[in-house]
Amino acid sequence: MLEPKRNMYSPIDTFALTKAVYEELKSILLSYSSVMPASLIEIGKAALSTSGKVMSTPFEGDPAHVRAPRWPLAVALSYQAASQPKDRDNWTSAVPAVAAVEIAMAAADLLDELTDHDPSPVIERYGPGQALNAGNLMLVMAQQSLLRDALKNRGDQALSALDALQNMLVEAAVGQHLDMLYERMGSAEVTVEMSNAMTQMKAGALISGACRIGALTAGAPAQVVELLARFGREIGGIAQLENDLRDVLPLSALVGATPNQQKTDLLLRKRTLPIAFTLRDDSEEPNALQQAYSSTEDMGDIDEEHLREAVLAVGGIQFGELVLSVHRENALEALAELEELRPGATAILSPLLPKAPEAPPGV
Amino acid sequence: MMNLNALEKLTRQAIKGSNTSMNSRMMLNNGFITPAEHRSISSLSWQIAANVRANGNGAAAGTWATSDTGTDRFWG
Repeated sequence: MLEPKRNMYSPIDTFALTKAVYEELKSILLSYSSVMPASLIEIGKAALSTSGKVMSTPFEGDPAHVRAPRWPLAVALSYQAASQPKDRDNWTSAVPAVAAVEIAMAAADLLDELTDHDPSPVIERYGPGQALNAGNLMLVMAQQSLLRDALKNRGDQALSALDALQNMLVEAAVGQHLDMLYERMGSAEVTVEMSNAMTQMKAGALISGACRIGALTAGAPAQVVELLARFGREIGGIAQLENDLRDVLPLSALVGATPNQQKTDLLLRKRTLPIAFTLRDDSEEPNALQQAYSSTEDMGDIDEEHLREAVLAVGGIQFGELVLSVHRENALEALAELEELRPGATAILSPLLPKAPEAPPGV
Repeated sequence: MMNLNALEKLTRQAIKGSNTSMNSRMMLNNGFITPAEHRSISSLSWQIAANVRANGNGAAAGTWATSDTGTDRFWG
């Protein structure tokens, strides 16, 4: 099912993609050298070089070991999937859009680290004020680089991509606002629908936007663009839920991953889907999480493992997994529709779809 | 849009040991949930029943192998 009907194009070489985006990012930073001091460019470069980003990629050694970072891959694969088969090898045309998304996401990560007081090498080194200023600047740079590309090369396609980038940033900022707002609300006030809508605005909007930008850059018709955006929204939901579930799984049940080093969702009183589900448990006796979130006690003094066990006992993990599985089915549906319009799209996009857990028999 | 309220209700029923298949089927037939949501509920009910058989406890027991979802802080 995942094989294309006719392989008329080459799969994207992740080393070549990562290297091309690296060069584009360098060129964008250099284009500001006449207006920015080296000290500011250095902060931008540091934000673009954190773990998992293109500029942190070690290009020495075996090229086969280079794993393309998530955001560049989402844009480039969407470009390739949205293109007609004969145009699929022209993915280098998407590099300016890929670089713009990489800059925007590095900025979003930095702003998120500031918001959540997460450990951050950039904030640690340059301080919160400089990091905030650099994050804001990078949001402008991401948009400016697409605008410059529109003026220089592809006009309407790059302008549409710019519009999509701005829309995704607006939606993500609304999601971020709600995330912080909900932390201060009563323990049962945030429904699972509110929680889901908030996370969809954050992760869903970002991946959806990245996929949309790839499709728009390819000049795809509206139906193809919308299907890719829909697919992106679903895989964004999956990624967010995987992250949220990892944060609430009791350490005793966790294998194959190290616990998060930063403050977790529980200690930050976040309202992720598994947490919102647990807080709305209607058992007579309040569970440990309901007690902790209702208390004015400093969360730092609370045994976090005890809270994780409450989420597990009430069914918050299972609810999260259920919603994750619906996202996965929806993503596959979008892919099936896309396959009709762009044969081979499923195979191209399969690296973006997380592996499914084993299905129970008879389901 | 996913019907989160219906999914929440069905999950709570399944966890309490109720048979959700009839309710889920009815919601599907009335257009309250999608076929994908119905299939996912069926899968969850199966898993809970399997946990009850294995551990005498519907709440999940066992271990999860979590994937590395990357380092992007925005997901945090």
